[in-house]
Amino acid sequence: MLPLIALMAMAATTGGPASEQTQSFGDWHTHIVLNGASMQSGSAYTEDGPGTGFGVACGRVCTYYLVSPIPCVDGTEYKALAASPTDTGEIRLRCMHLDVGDGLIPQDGARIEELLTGDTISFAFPLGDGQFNISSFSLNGAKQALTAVIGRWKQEGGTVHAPDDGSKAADPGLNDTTL
Amino acid sequence: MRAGWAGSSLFRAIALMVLAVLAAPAAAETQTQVYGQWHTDISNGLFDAFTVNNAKSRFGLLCSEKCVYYLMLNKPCKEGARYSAMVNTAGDARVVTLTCYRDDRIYIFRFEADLGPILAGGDLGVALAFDGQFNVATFSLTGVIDATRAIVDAQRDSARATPPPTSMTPAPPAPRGR
Repeated sequence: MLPLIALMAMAATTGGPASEQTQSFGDWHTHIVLNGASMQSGSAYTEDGPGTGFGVACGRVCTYYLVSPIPCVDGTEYKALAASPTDTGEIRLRCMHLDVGDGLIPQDGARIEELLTGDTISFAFPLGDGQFNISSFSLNGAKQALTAVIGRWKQEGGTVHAPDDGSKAADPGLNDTTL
Repeated sequence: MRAGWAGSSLFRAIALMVLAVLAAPAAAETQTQVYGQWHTDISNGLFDAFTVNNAKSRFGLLCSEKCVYYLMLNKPCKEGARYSAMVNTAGDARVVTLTCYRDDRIYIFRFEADLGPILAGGDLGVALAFDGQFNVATFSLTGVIDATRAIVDAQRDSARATPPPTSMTPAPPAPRGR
């Protein structure tokens, strides 16, 4: 699956004929679009089944993103609990609707980076009335893939982590499951 | 009424209560009631309102001198460790911290937050983070209002001579259509 934010990032940039580079690092993949020798856009991402992805995309800015099968309302902020094997934290994400699907942009990319330790990162999204959407992503290969994209983006003078624009927040048989 | 339960002592009491329930019929002085999917159990100075889901996990409000919300999963935790969870009802979702207490093979998570204001009808979901994964438990809230109100009232009746001890609130009163 080509990550949708990468599509957005590429759509948002202009330039002459582009070439593409793709690579895989463990469970992670990179996709870099070049304009000549310069990086025009890029993404590093992994998936947790069809329609569910997590990664970083660099277009005008470089930002983390999540793709969830749960529809969201464009421009609305959602909260989730993110967990790595050694840390947990509440995060807020803004929904961005694109023609190819819905993406969720964490408002604090630096906090996401802090949680990229260990071998997995998981997100619990409350759906209301006791239900959750749980997405878990392997971090096997994440460091190399993220370095390949973010590192290059920084080298070329790009900005990392889109700033929060302060939009209003909104919240969206019984058993146990481990997800 | 037995007084002075707090912190781990309170949870040792829960563990003993659970073990007693598992081991033998209720003692003569035990008072039990059923409110929808919730149960109350009043004995030995402990006032417990709880529900059990299909996975035999238990969520409840336990009062002695203080009241605390607690969770029991069929999952071990590390004594004294703090865990983060997302709790989710029809009306709200929030991140809370829970502390693990262990008594032999009984593991109890104490909520460090007052969940009363968000407990109404429908279901409660708890997504508890364990080592980078989530353990999700869902509980019916049918009857929670009456059950928690019953034990808090019983506790207050029992300790009428002392100042109000409750630091946690029971679920809010349900709208009555009478």
